[in-house]
Amino acid sequence: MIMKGKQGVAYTLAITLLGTVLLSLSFLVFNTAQSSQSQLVVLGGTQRIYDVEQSIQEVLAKAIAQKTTLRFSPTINSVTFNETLPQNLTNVTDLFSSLKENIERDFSFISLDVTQFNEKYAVIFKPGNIGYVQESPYKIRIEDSAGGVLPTLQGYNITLVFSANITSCVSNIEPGNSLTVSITATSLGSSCIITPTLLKGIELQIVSEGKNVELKIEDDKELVLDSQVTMKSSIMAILQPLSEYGYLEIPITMESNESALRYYRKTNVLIPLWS
Amino acid sequence: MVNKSKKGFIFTLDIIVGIVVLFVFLGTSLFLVSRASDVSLSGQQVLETGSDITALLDRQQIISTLDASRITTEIARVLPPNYGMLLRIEGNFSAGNGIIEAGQEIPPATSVYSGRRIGLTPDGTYLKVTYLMWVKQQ
Repeated sequence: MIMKGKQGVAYTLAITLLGTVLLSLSFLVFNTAQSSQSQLVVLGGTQRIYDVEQSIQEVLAKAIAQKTTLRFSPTINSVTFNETLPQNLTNVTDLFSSLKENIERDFSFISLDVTQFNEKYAVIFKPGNIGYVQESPYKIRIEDSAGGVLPTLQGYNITLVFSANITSCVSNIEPGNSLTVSITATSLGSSCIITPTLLKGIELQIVSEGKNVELKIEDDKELVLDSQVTMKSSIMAILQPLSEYGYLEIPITMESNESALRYYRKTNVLIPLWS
Repeated sequence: MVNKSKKGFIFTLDIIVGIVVLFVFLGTSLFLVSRASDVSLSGQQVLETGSDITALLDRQQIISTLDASRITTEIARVLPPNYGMLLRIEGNFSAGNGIIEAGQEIPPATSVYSGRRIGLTPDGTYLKVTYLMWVKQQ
């Protein structure tokens, strides 16, 4: 009789233990699922922010393409900047201001700062920090945006196309071996060509329509093109071969702050390569 | 006799309590496991499909045409058959008083996943694009 009683206690204990184990496992599965659920919510929220950030970058790149004649084409060992001078930049700054207003109204977690771009119209090719600056409607400067000496730059291949005849072309080459430069300036009736030359610096004075065009490459590899006439310019910066494709950055700061998701990011706007 | 009757009563009570406890354990376990199985990645996948399709239509400059029927045709061309999609385009444009909807109608009692993008028309008009996605009932 006592034996039977002991067996009963053992069965009851075994079943209770089994039940507790089952319940514990269920809680474990439930907790894991809850944790996955909250991670999925964060993932979904991040996806939504990413969508908005990507589209803002694309729209700002589109705005530059729509409102200026500036075009970029990067390759694995060069970046080419094409445009027609003079360049009117007020159209693009007006559009940027209106876009900033609309974006910040519709997406409260995004803040755009266009001041730096409006002060210095620049795009930066990275890696290498090659800054292409539109100093005025007639003047372009290529410089190291980080204040260095353009260490990855190996040369320039420059093509200038004038709508009126070139009447004078004078060059002054500073010998050296820091850059390989070739220049082709053409107009309907005449042209001015400098074949690929290894040099340290160059000054080129061209006259067209009785107005001066000055092209200067300094010792620190900086390039300045100052043109008082209408012309198409194509400046190819030849680089040390990159290990991966570079990208262009506009100095417009985009700040995303979504406290509910603990998401914070501050970055310059990147121009997608397809634009 | 009285002793045997008492034992029978205790056994019956024991069995009833045991069954109740067992069912509470089983019920709780089943509830927790079934709640856990509700969580799946499919919602995220639906959202990403919507994001990809909207980005594609934007890059192909179809959204900026502001032509609802053309956008609907293009959505039908690229949308997987088990998904439904509606695009709402808002902006300062004359068509539809500044709101255009393209795609399919949202069925009642359906979970809808949504996201947003911005766009730009060739004349520089700002667009706010909302995509709404759902899985079609089989």
